[in-house]
Amino acid sequence: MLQHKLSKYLLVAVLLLMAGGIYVYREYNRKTPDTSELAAAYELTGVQLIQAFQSGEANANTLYLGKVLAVSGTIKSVERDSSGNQTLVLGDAASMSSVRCIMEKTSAVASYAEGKIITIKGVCTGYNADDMGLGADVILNRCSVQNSVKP
Amino acid sequence: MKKLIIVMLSVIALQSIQAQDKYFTKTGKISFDATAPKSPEDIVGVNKTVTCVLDTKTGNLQMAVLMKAFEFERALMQEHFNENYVESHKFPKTEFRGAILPGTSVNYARDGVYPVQVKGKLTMHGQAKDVAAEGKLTVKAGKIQVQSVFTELLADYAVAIPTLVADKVAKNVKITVDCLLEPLK
Repeated sequence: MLQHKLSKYLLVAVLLLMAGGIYVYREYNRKTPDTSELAAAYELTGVQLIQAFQSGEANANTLYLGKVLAVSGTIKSVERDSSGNQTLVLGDAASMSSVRCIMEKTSAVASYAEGKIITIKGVCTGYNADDMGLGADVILNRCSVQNSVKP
Repeated sequence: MKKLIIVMLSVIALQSIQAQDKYFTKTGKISFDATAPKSPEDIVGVNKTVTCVLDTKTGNLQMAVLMKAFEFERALMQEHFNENYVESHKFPKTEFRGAILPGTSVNYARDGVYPVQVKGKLTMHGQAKDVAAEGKLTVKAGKIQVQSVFTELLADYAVAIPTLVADKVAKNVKITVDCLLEPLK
């Protein structure tokens, strides 16, 4: 009887250890998820997002920093750096302020031209105020295209 | 009226000349390496959204680095970096404001590689510290590449390393800067 009870406890302990091991292994090897698979915490326009940071950076950081946002706006420009990284710049062409969306996949914006209206999903990494004479920017990382509309 | 137009044109012309002195990027790269001899794996973070401005007339150099934009191989490492080490929710930005030391000879009109020394104030994790670093400017085809590798002590910026992993995270972090600047028009 005692032996039966002991083996039961042993089995539970082994199962718990295995579950713990699997959890630790998975956590350790976990990659940052693709934003296209994540639900957006907030959906807003680029203009609204920039205004939120301009009117109160601390509050906007509390709301948006590190969150997945779905931001819609007009493509102002498409930039490619020397390493092949692509950035979609959303905003009003007449304004210095923009939402800069760094694309996760380099081929994702190949077919997107200036002037198109688009919705981009990405992680908000913060805001650079216009204190260097370059305009103010809100930055989204790991971006994916949610949808686009012809202008 | 004529005078007003002349003044306005002069201001526009002056702004244009001033703008040509400035070079910038919003896609500069900064990486850091906090790998210690006893680290079980490389502790490397990369940021590809650094804003950097160089005024070639004054030598002033400014950088803004959003801490949430550092990316890591593993999500867990990225979360620990943001939540436990640099506390990016409290201190979302690191800034450098400094200048290329006077006496450094750089001919921005001529392609070449120019060793430079930069001094300034680095503000990270709410702590400001005077720093100096050596680097190089590469002038090529109307663009300027700013590169530097230097080390900083985490303790100087009040970044605490938990005792449990004290020997697995380097106390002196190697920082690599690589920004390709274009003229500001």
